[in-house]
Amino acid sequence: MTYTKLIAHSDKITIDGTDVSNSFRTFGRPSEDSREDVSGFSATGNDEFLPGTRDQRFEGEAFYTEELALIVEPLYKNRTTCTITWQPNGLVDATREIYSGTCTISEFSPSNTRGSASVFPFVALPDANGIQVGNWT
Amino acid sequence: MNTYGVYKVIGKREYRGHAPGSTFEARIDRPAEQRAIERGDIELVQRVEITVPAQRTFPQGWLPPMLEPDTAPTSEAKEDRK
Repeated sequence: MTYTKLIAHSDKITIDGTDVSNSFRTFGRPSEDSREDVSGFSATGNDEFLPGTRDQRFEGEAFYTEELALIVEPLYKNRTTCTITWQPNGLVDATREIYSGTCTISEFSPSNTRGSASVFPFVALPDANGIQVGNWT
Repeated sequence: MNTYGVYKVIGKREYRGHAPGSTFEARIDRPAEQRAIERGDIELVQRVEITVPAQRTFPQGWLPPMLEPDTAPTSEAKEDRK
């Protein structure tokens, strides 16, 4: 079986309902489970671990534009919860899976470097429901 | 809440999957609606309240004849049949 590999060019990203795809050049959903050491004294000396909390977020790098700042800054300033979605290749393939969560934007750090494209890191943290994935085909 | 809105996408970007210039019907929670309007992404064309009329009847001919209001058997008719 071959897999449908592709070069990422057409991901779809929305913040609070608005399509902001063209403002981002990287976007993703890091998700990590902590590993808790619950090893006790034993004759064997074996280590024992349990899965701990799950840390999820949306993370990306955006180009700083006035249009994007108009959307993101009020949400960040007021710590407003809003829906954020990410659909890999979604601009050209509406059937693709959608990652979505009700999030609070936790990092919005615009900055400029002389002679370089204005980019900044973007981080949004989901509520207790986490980031869900749907629309699998 | 039994209301929904008719919205027009007036911004340059797609809103909730609707292309700029298009009109759509949706139930958007008020704070999100307000933010989108303030950003200039959409405008509210009309707010529609869903109501049910106080007097409701089935359309003429919709029910089988014996169940139509003016042909339904009365209690007297049922007695006669016995």
